[in-house]
Amino acid sequence: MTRPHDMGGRFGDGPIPIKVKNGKCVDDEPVFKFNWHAKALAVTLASASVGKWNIDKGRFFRESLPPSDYNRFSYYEKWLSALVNLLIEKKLINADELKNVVDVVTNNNNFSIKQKNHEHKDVLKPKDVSVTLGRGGPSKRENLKEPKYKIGDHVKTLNFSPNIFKIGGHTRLPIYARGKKGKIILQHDSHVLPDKSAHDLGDGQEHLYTVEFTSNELWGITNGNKNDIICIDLWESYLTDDT
Amino acid sequence: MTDLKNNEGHSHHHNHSVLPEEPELRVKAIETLLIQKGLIDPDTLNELIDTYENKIGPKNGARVVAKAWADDSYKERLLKNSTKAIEELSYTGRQGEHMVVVENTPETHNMVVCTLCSCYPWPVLGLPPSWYKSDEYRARAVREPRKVLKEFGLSLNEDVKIKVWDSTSEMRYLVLPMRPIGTEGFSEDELAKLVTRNSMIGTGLPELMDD
Repeated sequence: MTRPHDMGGRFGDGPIPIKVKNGKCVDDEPVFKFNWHAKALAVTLASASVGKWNIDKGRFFRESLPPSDYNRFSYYEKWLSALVNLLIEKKLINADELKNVVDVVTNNNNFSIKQKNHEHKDVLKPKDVSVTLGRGGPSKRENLKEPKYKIGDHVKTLNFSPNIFKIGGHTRLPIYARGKKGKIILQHDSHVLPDKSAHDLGDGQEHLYTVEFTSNELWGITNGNKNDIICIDLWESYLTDDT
Repeated sequence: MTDLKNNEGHSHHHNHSVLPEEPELRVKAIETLLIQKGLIDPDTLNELIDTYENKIGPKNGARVVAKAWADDSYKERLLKNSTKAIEELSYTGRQGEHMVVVENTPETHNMVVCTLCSCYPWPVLGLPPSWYKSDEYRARAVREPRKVLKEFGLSLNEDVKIKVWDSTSEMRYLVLPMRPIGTEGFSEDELAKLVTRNSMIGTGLPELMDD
């Protein structure tokens, strides 16, 4: 099972799209290249306040776009398309309303936006932006279970999608790191399990670890580099003992 | 027969197909509908845009790095409990709730990627540059980091170990680059000016100004 977002290690991509001058990267890109990029970001963040979907669900909707769309859409186009799908799933808008408004904006350039008199109770207000962003959404949760692994332990990742709750469901074990042997190098307490959280199945918190893999383990001795290490954050249920 | 229970989201992952082809109109359509329905406040949009355009950006991360260079006890706190030490400078929240600072040394060079999406430490670095979100970087950084770094103009010695951090969880990684030689006696403000965005992602080094 694959989805188009899971591209780590893929062959065929060209040079990194950066500006190079005198052999060095020139980093002078504006924060928003176009006005609509800024609007796409802001509309998405503001909608999340009323939609109340969690970050995992947001990610799942982006990676669930049909592969042909995922691959041809630019970054913020993915955001907008996933947002529309989420808003409809959450019944905040419906497909007919969307069709109507698309018709209006496409055919009439001179219309003005009419604001509704009553607002949804959870609308994000300008004065609350800074506090809301500053608070964020921590994923750390309490867990009475003791961690199964400790730093230095050798583990092996599952060789299939760890999401046993949904076929084709969300997970954060990349395909390139499945069925691979690594070593625990960091422990991060317990965090919300994306595999459950993305599908409204609760937090399902589990102990989270950073596991290091040698480049040779992931890519083979012909493609790997003996001095390179790849570190990946993985939840306890993604791992088995490697003894 | 389709098992509907296990196909959550199949049909509503296609609603976006009614959106117009031009991205400007797509945003316009969604924005218009949400404002009309009282679901978003237009002034909030401006506030959000202003925040990420002007208030939150790599200057924040540069303050963290400069302080760590200038103050050994801060550096120790930063490496031990990164989230808390960064909070000392009031950088908190969305996309930086759980921070891990990784230190470059003469033996080890760190670089950060998110192969599955575009996770990035917003409170200290702002929004990610477009190359960080590109397929090229996401696909290649984990398999051939040395080639990728070379494209950025960074050639590392073969015996330097490269550690690539793939941000698959809500932990967010910030690279603490090595303090450049010849900066003894620099103030924190002067040091902060040397810290480039790419040096905190691991695709560059701090830069001494030519002038």
